[in-house]
Amino acid sequence: MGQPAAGETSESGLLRLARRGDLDALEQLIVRHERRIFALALRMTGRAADAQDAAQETFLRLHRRIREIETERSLGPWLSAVAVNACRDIGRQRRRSRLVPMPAGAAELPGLEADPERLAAARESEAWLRAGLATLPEKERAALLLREREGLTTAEVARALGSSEVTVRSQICNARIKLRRFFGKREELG
Amino acid sequence: MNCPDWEERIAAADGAAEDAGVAAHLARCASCARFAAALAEDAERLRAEPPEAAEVDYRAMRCAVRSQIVRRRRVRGVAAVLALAASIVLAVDVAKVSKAPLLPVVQAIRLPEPPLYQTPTYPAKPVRSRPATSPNLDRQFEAFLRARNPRPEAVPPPRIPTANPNVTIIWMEETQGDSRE
Repeated sequence: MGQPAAGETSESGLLRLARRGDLDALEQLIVRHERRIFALALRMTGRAADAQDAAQETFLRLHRRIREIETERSLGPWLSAVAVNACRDIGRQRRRSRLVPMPAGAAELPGLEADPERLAAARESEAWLRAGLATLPEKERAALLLREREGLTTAEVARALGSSEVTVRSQICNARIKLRRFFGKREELG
Repeated sequence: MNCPDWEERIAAADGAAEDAGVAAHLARCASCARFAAALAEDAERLRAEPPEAAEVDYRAMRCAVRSQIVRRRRVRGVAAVLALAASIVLAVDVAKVSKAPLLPVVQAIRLPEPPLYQTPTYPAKPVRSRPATSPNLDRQFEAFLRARNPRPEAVPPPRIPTANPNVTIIWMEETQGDSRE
């Protein structure tokens, strides 16, 4: 359980050490991906608490199935796919999909009671994005995030979601159009 | 210009370079070019990091992951020790059994194979023939029996008088074989 050797700080070296049971190496791998995985989970679930649970579950699965990862190049897409599926599992476990209905009112266009001026621009934009994502069906959201945010290929997305490439292409296309219409409405109002 | 038919094609294309037709259309249609630009902005929004990502206590999350892994390893270790103990106990038992005298080996006895079934051949039924008898012969045989076993003289049954002169008890004794008389 020692520190990884100087020459083995690359992801492949860390993976090799982690496979041998080195928890420090595993922790270093987690450090490299935790922020990205949390952000993805937050986009999927819409709630920070759920996103943290999903990220934690993702890294536990990484420990359990670390031998399945063949190369360092596949670790990023692998983690993204696992994170998306962990989010879906969490949604199922809670008996209601947090991925479709957002917290009350968040998925609707803001009325008079919401004052955008009181919100920071970034926060406002984020809230809108989350509300827009919440209007999408779970699989379309997952496909869109894996494609646009994580940069997975269509084949990788299809593998992650257990769908065909044709289905994934259609899901991504629908999700893009729906999200654009949602933002279009917002822009009209704003 | 409104091009709803193109919306889907533009949204499906991963960049104008992927679909030459889309690129050509975007070059001459301002509305669709705006739509494509808006899609690109949306993708950029999706790629942006949410503000909460900077506020998360990642160290605490890593600690939680690590402690769960350690706990799981402990459980696995205990399970391994228990499995080892169980296998040792099993091995000792097997050794005891192997030291015990062996039971005689039952040898299989080869039984003769049963003969094939053959239809039995029954002897021919004897023809019953009734001997010719004459009535005289029966009578002669009866006389012979009587002569050989003469009947005892019939003894009159004892009579017991009662107080009533009209009533007399006759003591009759019957022995086997007399019922026919």
